[in-house]
Amino acid sequence: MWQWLYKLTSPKWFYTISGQLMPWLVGLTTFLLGVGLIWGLAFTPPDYQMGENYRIAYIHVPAASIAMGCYYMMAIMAAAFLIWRIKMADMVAKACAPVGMTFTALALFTGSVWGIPTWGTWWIWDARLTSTLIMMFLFIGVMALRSAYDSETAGGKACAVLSLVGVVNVPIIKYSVEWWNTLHQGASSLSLSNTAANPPEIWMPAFFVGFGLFGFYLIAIILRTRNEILIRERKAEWVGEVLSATLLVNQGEV
Amino acid sequence: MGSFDSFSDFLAMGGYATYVWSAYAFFILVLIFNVWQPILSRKKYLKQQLRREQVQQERAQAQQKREEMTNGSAT
Repeated sequence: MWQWLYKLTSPKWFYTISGQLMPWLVGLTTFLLGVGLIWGLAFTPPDYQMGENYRIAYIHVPAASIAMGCYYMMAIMAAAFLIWRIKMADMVAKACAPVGMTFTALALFTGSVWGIPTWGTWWIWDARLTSTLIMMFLFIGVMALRSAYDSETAGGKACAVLSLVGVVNVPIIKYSVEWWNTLHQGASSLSLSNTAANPPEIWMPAFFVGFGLFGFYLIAIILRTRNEILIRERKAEWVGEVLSATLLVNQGEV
Repeated sequence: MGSFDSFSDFLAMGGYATYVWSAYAFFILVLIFNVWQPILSRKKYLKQQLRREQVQQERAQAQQKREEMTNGSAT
């Protein structure tokens, strides 16, 4: 267990394993997203109140949960970087910010276009929407902060502190619909009964899209982290070998 | 197909086409951005490394030539 954890902190190990894992991850993600999206868009029955419009939920809910998960991941990586000085953790944290930002933007956008016909407004300053917007600004802030530093380590530390301060916002997003009176609805309970308001035939596709989008999220993080490894570890011997091998292959196209 | 009577019904989304399809279009955009951007920056980085390597090689060759010339004049 500890040995495995220790290995995780090695950029070389991460680069090798993620490279081997990638084709499987891409295949599984494509399958899950394909099934979930086609199922959710074309095969589930319309909602009795919202009609076909509720199909936005199949991307809105997974996008929002993964955006929150992404913030937690960034904060955990930030803590690992601050406490144990693990360079690898900082590289993953750096990858989290832009990915989390786009997922939060997706949650906000899909929520807005969903709100226009159902709520009669695309935006309201209720607790759920506002705290989610703050999360997007935190992601943007972390990216801006990093770009303001010339030193990789100093920038990483500053970003880690901001990420850890901002993590308080994530449970606020989660429980905002319970703590305050919001226009945004609370979490729908999933029922196993087919006669319930939210039967399996409605929420099953969301699981496919959810796991598919999680797979995609991992792919996005891995792609960015691998780039970061090649840049930061360019003086390491093994990176030199990887670079010259890739350069030979790509000499024609780049 | 599925819950819809026809493909045009599917596209119409029961009158919610603008909302549903714009949400899904943004979704696709986010997917494309998150793959395309790191791939592009990887290519850019590799290109930069290739150029650096070429410059280094040229410098080494020029250095070698200079050494040969000075050696030649000496003898």
